[in-house]
Amino acid sequence: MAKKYDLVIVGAGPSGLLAAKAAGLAGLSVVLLERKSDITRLDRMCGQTLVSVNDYYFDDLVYYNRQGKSIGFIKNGFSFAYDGPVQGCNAWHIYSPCGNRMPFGLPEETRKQGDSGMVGLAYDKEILFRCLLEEVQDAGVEVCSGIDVSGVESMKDRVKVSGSGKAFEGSYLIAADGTNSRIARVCGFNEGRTFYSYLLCRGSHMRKLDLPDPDILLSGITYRTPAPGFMFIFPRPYEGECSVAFLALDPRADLEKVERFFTHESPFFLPWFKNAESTRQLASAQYIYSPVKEPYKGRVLLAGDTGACQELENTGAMISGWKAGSAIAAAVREDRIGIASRGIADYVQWWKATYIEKCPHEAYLMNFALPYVLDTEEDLNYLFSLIKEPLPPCWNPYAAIGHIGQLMQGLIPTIQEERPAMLQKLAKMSQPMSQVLAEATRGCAPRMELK
Amino acid sequence: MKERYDVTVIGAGPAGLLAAKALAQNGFDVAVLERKQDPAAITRACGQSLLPPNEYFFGDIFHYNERDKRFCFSVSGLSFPYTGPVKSLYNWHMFSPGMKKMQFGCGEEKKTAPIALSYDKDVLIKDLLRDIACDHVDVCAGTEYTDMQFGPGTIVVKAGEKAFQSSFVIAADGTNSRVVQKLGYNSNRRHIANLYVQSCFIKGFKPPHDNAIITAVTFVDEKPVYLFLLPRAEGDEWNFIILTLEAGVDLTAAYDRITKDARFAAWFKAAKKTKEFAAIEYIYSPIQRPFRNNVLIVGDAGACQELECLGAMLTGWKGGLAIAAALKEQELGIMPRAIAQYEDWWLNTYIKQYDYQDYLSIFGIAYMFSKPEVIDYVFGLMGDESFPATFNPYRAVGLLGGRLQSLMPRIMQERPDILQVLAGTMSLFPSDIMGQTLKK
Repeated sequence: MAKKYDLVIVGAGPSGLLAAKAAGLAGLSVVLLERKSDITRLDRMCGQTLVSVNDYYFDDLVYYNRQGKSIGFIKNGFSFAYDGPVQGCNAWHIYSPCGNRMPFGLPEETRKQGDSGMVGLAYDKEILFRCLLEEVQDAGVEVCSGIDVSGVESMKDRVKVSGSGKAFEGSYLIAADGTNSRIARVCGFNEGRTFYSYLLCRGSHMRKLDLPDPDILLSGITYRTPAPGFMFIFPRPYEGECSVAFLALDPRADLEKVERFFTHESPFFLPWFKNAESTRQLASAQYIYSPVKEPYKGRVLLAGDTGACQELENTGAMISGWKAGSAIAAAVREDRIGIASRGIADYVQWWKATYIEKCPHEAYLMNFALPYVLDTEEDLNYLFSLIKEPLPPCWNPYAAIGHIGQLMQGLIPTIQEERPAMLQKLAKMSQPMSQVLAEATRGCAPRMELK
Repeated sequence: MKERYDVTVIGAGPAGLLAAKALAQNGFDVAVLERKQDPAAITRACGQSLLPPNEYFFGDIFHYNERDKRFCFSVSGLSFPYTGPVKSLYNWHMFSPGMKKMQFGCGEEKKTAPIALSYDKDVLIKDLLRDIACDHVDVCAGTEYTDMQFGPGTIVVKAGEKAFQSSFVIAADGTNSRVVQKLGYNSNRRHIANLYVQSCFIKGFKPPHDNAIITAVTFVDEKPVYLFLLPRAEGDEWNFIILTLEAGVDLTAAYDRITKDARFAAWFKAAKKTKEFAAIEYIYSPIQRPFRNNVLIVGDAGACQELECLGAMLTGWKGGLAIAAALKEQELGIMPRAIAQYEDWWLNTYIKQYDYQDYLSIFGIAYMFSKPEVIDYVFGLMGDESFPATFNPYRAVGLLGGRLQSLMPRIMQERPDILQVLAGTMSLFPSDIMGQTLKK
């Protein structure tokens, strides 16, 4: 016999935990299911940063309350305790293969502004999980870990979830099982989504890096692999520690080769890694789909990365989780008193207005598209060499693309004069991302099932 | 007391305390000024210890989470502890002078969602004070706002000898807001009437219906008087409110006359007052733009008479969050938007979706139908069938208007004289009808 709840939530990441907290506080009977046996353990690669702590993101202002040791979302009016360490990220710099730089903010400037100069905030996600889990349990939520959900059955008035030999029944289900969501796939939400490519990632926590600035986010791009490779370095909230991720959209890139380029081959990057020690290795493999436009059907509501193009970032996942939990709380009330439903419709409308329209996924993908558009190392080195002034401090993929667009407009006359052929390549940026990234998509064929 | 606060909140009612909660939760320093020595002591007549758990109101849906003893507002995700007693009310009975009755809610107790939850306002205020207690909040009781001075980036709020410096001010000092009056915002508002109120808690009341809201319209010396009888959350006490828009009605005498009146005598035979209150409220049209010069007006202070408790709570909470976001915007040096969004919400939700003229209609019934005989006739016709369960005045007025419309053909046949009266008044705004009559 399946145990009955108002709400079943699948996935105890930031989004699922906040959905559980919102619904629990509203008095719903909630069960939160998680595949991992230890919810507080992080077992895949993650940058572990809050994006955009210096500007609006999803129409909210997220910030770290240093005095109160909490993370707050002002507009949506929620916050939660986080008692772990933090490290401010004071800028984001992207490097071309030869080491030319596109700086979003200069740390020597932003550091002077203290916390309001930070573009992002690095935290320890395992501690964040522990803190959120405590709040969720305090809100009366039943938490079941080690449940790998494999079946979802939507019925007229409820939805049944089964996995790991157990069954749970809810009036509603929130799927917060992240990118590669199995619930989204099983329930047919993936139909009609555009598949762009994979996002393959391996990396490690490292110590003793010799970085130009230890308190900023760094990205690098390489062409020395069969397909473009990327590197992201995220500060960690522990002295001298960083998280280094090597990524590619296209499995031909070979992540080992990407890593070797940055750590052993590139004359510019290799000095950063001369004394590096890796403390913990992590990986991840994700599908990049266009977002789900209708995140609700058959009593299943998608929250967080589950319905997003790759990811909403932790910030977006938390906001959408909280709002989804609140929407189901409203829906359960509506059902109980027998009035017309609108709570879920309001969430869907918010999803469309805030995410689909204001944060277009094509803009998000452009961040990965640059080496596919400027397809030689020389192009990118040249383009970055033209950047004389720093761009505004920013660690928000949607806003960054806007800043790059403005920068390009200013550079066009110079490029036209010096490298007219490059302009034609840049013009490709105006094409749909499915065309721009066609080569990566082809590289992923035949598509494999990622488990 | 701190030298400087981020925000000074004037008024420690539900709106002010929720604004303070929103700000303190985000780490901003708040001073809450309250005129009374004890913020939790209810010193004036108040009918609004009721919240609607059965419908959307001001865009949100209220729910009492019994398991954790919390008041919850699902849409805005706001919740806070309430440890006091509650009582579910299932119907609203409305009596005419001749005791014809209209009823909202069909009366199937326990089977339907209650139309209102009665709670204890003292406990609510105490719980809210406990909920917001932290280093960031200074609640200054017995501190009466007297004046405000505007300097560059700073507002100085004076309260007698004391002065509070802050970047923003939230005025949550209720109907008859002194802040609103002193800032001159009332000059753009329309003054419609005054509401004279006396109320008392009574024991031994024999209600015609249990667990219900009972209201009646009657006349004292030919002047319309409204009675509200609301069950209190705990025990068998009721809150009995007598109100009128007419100056010169002796409400104390009215109490004695009404309770001994043949129509009501049976209800009040054993009734004893346990506590008495009074109030005089100015009824103004609502403020359209509640933010000027870094002062935000929330709750009843900017409303037409009152927003009901739910509205006061929501505007306090949302107003507090908007100011918190504005402070953050300043800190980060980014384009401001939060307060403009709050003003949009206020305009769309309160001004546009909930028309204060509808709200006024509840007090306008006696004036629109003008004579007891007409009121009796209309109530008699309309009371045949119960209305959907609500005590939301805006919705109730819509429901009444709809039914009256459908009865017009019958009225035309039966009482063409009454149809003439209705045709004359229904084409006017309630504020105009009330204004005209009251001027005489």
